[in-house]
Amino acid sequence: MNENVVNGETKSFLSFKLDSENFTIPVMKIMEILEVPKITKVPQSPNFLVGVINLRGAVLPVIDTRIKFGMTPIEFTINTCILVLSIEVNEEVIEVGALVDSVSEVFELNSNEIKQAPTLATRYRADYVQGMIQENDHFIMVLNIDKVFSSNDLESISEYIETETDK
Amino acid sequence: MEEMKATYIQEANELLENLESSLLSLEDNPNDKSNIEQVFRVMHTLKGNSSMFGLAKIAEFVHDLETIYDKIRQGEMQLTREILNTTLASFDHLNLIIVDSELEDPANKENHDQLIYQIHQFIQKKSPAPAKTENTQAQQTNATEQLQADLENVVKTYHLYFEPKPEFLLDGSNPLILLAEIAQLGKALIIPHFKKLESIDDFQPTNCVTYWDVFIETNCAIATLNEVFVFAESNAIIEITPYLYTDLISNGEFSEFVQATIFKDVKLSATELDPLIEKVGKKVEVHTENQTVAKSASDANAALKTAKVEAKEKVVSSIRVSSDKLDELMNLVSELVTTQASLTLYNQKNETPELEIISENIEKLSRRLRDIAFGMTLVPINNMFSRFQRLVRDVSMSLNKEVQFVTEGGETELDKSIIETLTDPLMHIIRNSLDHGLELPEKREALDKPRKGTVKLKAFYSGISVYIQITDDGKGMDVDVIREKAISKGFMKPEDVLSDKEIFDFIFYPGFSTAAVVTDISGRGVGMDVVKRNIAELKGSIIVDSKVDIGTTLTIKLPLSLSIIDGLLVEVANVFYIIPLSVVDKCYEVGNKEMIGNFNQLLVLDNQQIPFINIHKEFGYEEISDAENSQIIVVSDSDRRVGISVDCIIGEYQAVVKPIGKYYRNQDFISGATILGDGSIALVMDTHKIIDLYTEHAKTELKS
Repeated sequence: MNENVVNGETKSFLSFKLDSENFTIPVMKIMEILEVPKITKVPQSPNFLVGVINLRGAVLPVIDTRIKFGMTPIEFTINTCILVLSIEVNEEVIEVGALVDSVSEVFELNSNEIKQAPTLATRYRADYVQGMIQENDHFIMVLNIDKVFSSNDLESISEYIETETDK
Repeated sequence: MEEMKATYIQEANELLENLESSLLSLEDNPNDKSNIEQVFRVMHTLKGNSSMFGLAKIAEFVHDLETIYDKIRQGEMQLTREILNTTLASFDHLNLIIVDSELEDPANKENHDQLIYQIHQFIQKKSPAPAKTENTQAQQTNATEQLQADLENVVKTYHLYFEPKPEFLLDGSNPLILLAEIAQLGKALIIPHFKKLESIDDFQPTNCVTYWDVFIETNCAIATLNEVFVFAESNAIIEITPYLYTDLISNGEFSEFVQATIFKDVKLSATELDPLIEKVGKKVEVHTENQTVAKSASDANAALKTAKVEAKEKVVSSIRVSSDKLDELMNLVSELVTTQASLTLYNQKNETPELEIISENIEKLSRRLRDIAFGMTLVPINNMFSRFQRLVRDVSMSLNKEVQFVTEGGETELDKSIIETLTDPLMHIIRNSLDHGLELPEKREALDKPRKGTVKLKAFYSGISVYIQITDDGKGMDVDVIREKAISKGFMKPEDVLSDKEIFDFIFYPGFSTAAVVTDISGRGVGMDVVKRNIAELKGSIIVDSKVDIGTTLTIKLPLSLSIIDGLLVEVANVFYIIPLSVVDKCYEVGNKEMIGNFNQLLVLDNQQIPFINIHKEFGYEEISDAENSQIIVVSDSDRRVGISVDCIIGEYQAVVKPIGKYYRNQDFISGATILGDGSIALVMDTHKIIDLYTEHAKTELKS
């Protein structure tokens, strides 16, 4: 053990799956995990905005994380669930629901174990990914959650996805 | 301590606001006694508050200012324009230093010293012998005041009527202690009375049934007597009448007369007392040096009587509530309305008659509660209007223009936060009107216009919007000039054909200014674009109309921001929508055959041709083919009526509109969402935006 590990910060993370890929975000960002209720689609909204749900009296926008990441739209199964995230955009805290295929586990992780993600050859935007961790033989991507779901990024994302898919 | 400081600043701000409006009305009417009094009082309170918080510099400053107004009040000085200007400058200074009480900012310090010097100049100058004609009145009032002051010091008799309320004793108050205190002030004659009880059953041992008439001979002022009862005021009827007579109490006839009423349920009335007192009493000689105004004692008596204190319970006209609490109240009311919707739904499923009555009652109550709660967060726009008075005064003076500022519809109510955001844009527009709109007095006369220009600020409701109009009768804007400027700036091409309205809209473009000379007031071309942006942030819009030499009118339209609305619940493609009831005109049932493939997009309803919007198509839902009929809801949008087709009308619904978040900012035809009784979500339509959107779509379709 080197001293970096001693100095590093240990936090809890939750891992989840999109398609066959593994992702993880800090537990502190997650308010709760919901089963999928009835979702009301807002007409003429971008396709990654699935709609709004009633979260105990508040209206919560829900995002299809798969479309957001340039994958195919989510297919609803028994494992599909919504992560209610509290994210910070322009010093403002907003809540948003993220649809994911399934949640896996909660684990402790020292910040020193997060490795720099290779900037090339990734299917996702580099600034969405904070780093990677290795678990056995596969990698888990640590997401920069504030960046992924910032609404300011809306147009640029859709443009980005379009240009990416065009390539 | 910080919290107290915040309260102090808040209060000081309010006081200063009061002060400003009084000062401005003094400017129009410098001899208005009541306004001078008001100015003096506000300053006095401000001084008191400041010294209470140990802000010695502010207190001293206000004290000096107050001295001037005290002298004016006393008639020793005449209110001049110079004094007013200095006071207004001091007022601005005070606004700064209430947050910088130690004068840490050197600029404040310098200003402070300079103003104090000016104020001292005024005080030392004493009165520049006031013009006689103007001042006889002031002198007279002065003399009366002098007389009153003299009267304060002579021995006289007061008649004090003291009737505690039945519950007076309940909080441990003892009337006898109060009476003993009064008796100490001079020679007193105390006559107790008992209230007559109808029967023994009425007797409550805890109630107070005694009341008193007290005659007291003393040289104390009426205020001293009042002070004794200061804590009893709210719980008792206290009337104090002064008589300018002495020797009453020792007079046999008088005491016999009043003592006859002991223990009886008789109140001594002035009509009985006055002649008797006049007969037996010894008149008090009032010595006053002021020979010019010789007033008889009875006159002074009358003057004193007006000071008679009616110690009835004070009416509380307003209280201060933090906006957090109001927000919380609004949230709770919203929750209540939502819960009530669930109850109604439950009732519909179960159909229990008793429950139905309860549910309906709760609905009525929650509706009323909602109206009251919303009424509380709305502020009349007048608060903002009065702030502009000052602006107009200062700007017009610096521009040497004569301006009459007229406000209308000040009672129109808007959300407080909207009013705050609106202040800056309006200020900018008014400045523009004064600077560029109105001409100089000489030029106006040459144009056969009244010398004084008029700037009018008007607010009014229309439909679900509030309108604010700023009108001036100045030189107006020339469409052609703006057109040329827009072309030279590259905002439009010379061959473009635009309506006047569209051309005027260019003044809101960044960097557009038609002013030839840039002044410090306006004309730099920054501003109008900011104005437009600010108003757009409030979801409002702004329109300009102008005619050369006639004037310019700017109209700002703002949506009413009530978050609970009465709406019509409808269904389109299995999604619930709410249409605000305030725009709904009428509902019709129309066969689908008439709608599908309708080339003109027009329906004939009640012998009127009405364009309609197929929401299915507009919202990108699949066309339904199996249903035979559609419901058409005719909504009014400013001056036109448009039909909106929906699948099914469910009914009236009280909707708590919640924001759907920033993600949907491009879907602004949905103004929010509401939660229905069964927990599902209905989207609230903004019909105005939908109609706009549809018109745009229709245009692009035509082009392609």
